[in-house]
Amino acid sequence: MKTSPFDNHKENTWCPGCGNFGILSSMKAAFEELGLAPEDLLIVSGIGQAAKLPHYIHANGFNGLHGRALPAAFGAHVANSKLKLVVNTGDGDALAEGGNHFIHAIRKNMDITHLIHDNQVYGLTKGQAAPTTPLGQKTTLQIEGVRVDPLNPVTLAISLGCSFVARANAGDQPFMKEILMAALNHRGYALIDILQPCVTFNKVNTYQWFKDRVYAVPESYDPYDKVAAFSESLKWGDDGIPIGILYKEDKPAYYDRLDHIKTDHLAAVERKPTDIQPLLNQLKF
Amino acid sequence: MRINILIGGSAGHGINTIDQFLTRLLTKKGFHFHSYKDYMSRIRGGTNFTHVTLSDQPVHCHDDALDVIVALTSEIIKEHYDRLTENGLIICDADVVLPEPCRHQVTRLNFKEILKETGNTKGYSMVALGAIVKAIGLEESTLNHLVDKRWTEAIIDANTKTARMAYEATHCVLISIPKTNEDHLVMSGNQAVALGALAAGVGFYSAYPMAPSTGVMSYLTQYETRYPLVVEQAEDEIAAINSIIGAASNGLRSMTSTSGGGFSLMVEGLGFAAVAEVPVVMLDVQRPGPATGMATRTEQSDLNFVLDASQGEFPRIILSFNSIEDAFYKTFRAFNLSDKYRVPVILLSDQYLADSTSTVREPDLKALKIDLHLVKEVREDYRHHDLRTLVQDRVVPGMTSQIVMNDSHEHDENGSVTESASNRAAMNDRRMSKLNEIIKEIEEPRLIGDPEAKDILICWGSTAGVVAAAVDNLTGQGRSVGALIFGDLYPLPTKTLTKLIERGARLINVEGNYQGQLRQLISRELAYPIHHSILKYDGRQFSPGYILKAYEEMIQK
Repeated sequence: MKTSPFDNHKENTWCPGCGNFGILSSMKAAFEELGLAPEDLLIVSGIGQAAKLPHYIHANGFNGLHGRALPAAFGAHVANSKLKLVVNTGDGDALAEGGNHFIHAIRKNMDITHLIHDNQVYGLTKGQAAPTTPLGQKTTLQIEGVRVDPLNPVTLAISLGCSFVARANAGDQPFMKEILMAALNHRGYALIDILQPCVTFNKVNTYQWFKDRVYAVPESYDPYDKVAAFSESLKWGDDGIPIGILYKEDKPAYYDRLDHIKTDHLAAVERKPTDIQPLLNQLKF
Repeated sequence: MRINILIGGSAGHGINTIDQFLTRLLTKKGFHFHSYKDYMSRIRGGTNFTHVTLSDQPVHCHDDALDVIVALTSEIIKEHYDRLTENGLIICDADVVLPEPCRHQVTRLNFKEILKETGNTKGYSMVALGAIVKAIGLEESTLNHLVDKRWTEAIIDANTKTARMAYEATHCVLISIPKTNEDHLVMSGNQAVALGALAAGVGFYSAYPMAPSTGVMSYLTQYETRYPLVVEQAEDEIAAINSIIGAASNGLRSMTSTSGGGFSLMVEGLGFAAVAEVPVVMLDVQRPGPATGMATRTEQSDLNFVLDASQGEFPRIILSFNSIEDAFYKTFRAFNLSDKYRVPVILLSDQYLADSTSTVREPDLKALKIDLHLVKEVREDYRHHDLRTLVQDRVVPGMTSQIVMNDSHEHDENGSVTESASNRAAMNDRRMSKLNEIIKEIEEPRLIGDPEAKDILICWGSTAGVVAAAVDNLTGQGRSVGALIFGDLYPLPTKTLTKLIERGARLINVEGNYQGQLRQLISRELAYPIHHSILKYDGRQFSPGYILKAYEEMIQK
């Protein structure tokens, strides 16, 4: 088996055949191809099966609280914008517990790559519905079928003006690697919704189910056309599922909005208590 | 000698402006003062007042008796007239209703007429200022300093003219006021925190607006561009705490602030910071709870909450502010403690202290030292949660080529998830044992008044100033009484307390809450019951008179 500088040989607790393995491999391959070293990276996650990923890769890691990966990633980015930040969340982590943060993180357009391991079901807690589970689909908890409408992360991100929105299929690693590299090269919030089969709990959205339905957006597709992208993002199921870069928008990244910060590594700035003397002088009358 | 001035009206009368300029003028004249605002949670109308206490000595609280009442509405007279001393003065607007008969000196000013004459329709505050300056016996030239950088020349002229007219029209003057001429700084409780954090090198500040804590963020935001500092208004308190954990785990000093309701949302993050050993500083500016409670009122009822907030067991440090000056130093110290021990430090302020302003001795910044406890070069034998030691410098990503893992699970020495029983016990031992080291740096409470007195009042936080004034009053009468003032609260310093208990002192806890939460903490740590309490939980700060009355009633029994 091919080795990578990002291997860490820890015991892996994902189910055999889990889509996460493909995501992990593609990620390592993309890092290597971009010439990144483990110390250049910070892999951030919340809680869930996807969120175990920082433990399975040799790089700086941050495995935070369920739903809170994005605020933590934001803080890390403020402290050191030189780090390549890659956030790995599941659909529950990003869109249920972390739904509010997802909306507001996109508004900041911070320079991160965010992967949603979207398997449309909860793995760690054993088979309950995710925000992306289709209406009517039966789960271990929603035994008569899901009653609430699913959330489409791609459509939501486009509507929020996320500066890079893509979708990939965990069953197609070479394609996923290309998307990952484009996302890592993007300055701003790069979201990749990854269609990921859950071999244990989701018997509907399988590798084959996705293989039969996904199609790459054609070369003529213009990702800068917001209305067209919105419309494209709504396609799902038997109508076909578009993958590739669905939307792009040019706008300043978070750090580019901080005119007063002249460094890309805020944590390394030397500070002294005497720096505040001018402020004390203002308090004299 | 202390002079108390209460200035009140409706929201929109510019009570804040009066307070701001009066305290500046007093500082320029070399007085010490303490000023606190009592305001309602609304934009216009209602009843607001500010209470300024000036002296030739540092002041940390207001008094019960008033020497001057400046009333822009009748409600102010109705509420506070009984507090006016025999020689006290009233300055009021033309239509303000006074008690019949009124046995005090009164200056009635027709605010509207004066403003019409000077063409300064919004200058209520300037009329009041001119009158107050005259009433406390300061010379007219004091009014030359009514300048603000936001004002144009025309506004300054109109304001000065208005204030001078009011000065001329005011006839009652206090007989004697203290004289002094010292240089001080002027700051509010919230500003002191912001300055302490900046002195400590805070680089990231994230919070969600919540009264009465928002002032810290507002102050920092003004100077964001002057320092390499990022101030971010988070989408909620959960984001605020998690983002500062993200920043702090990358070596940037970070802080958040809120009130009890927001702290409730931060609780899971607090435990995360502790288990991951990421240093964070959290400020809780207490207001009456639970839930929304009373947004602009004060209370000391979050001590039990922050002591036990979050599931599981972990070390934490809790410090409370005894004065505005203390808030500066405690905030500075919080960062060094947090970085050294890699534990969360919770700062307890309250609305009374946060919204108060006072003169403060200028801090000697050169005497302060920032200690980040970061590893700056690769250490081959580095373990992120080293079981061989309790106190260790830490590696953060991107400072060296060394990589590191921060984790919210129980983890091994390198931050990898593990459910090993022996590791779990060892990690818990390591974390909890830090308290044995931390206690060595915790400051003992301050014993004031008569240290050998039978009766010792016990207090913490902003109540310190009021208790000290009450003790001064009693010892001034030749009575034997002392007070034990806690600033550092957890781990609880017990040496002085144990000595008092051993010599059979009668302890009386004075707290702004229902349960006597410090009393409960003492009972928990020392298994010593305190039987006497003076408690207040009506959303208002104690006054020295309130404590004196309660104390007299208690000893009568």
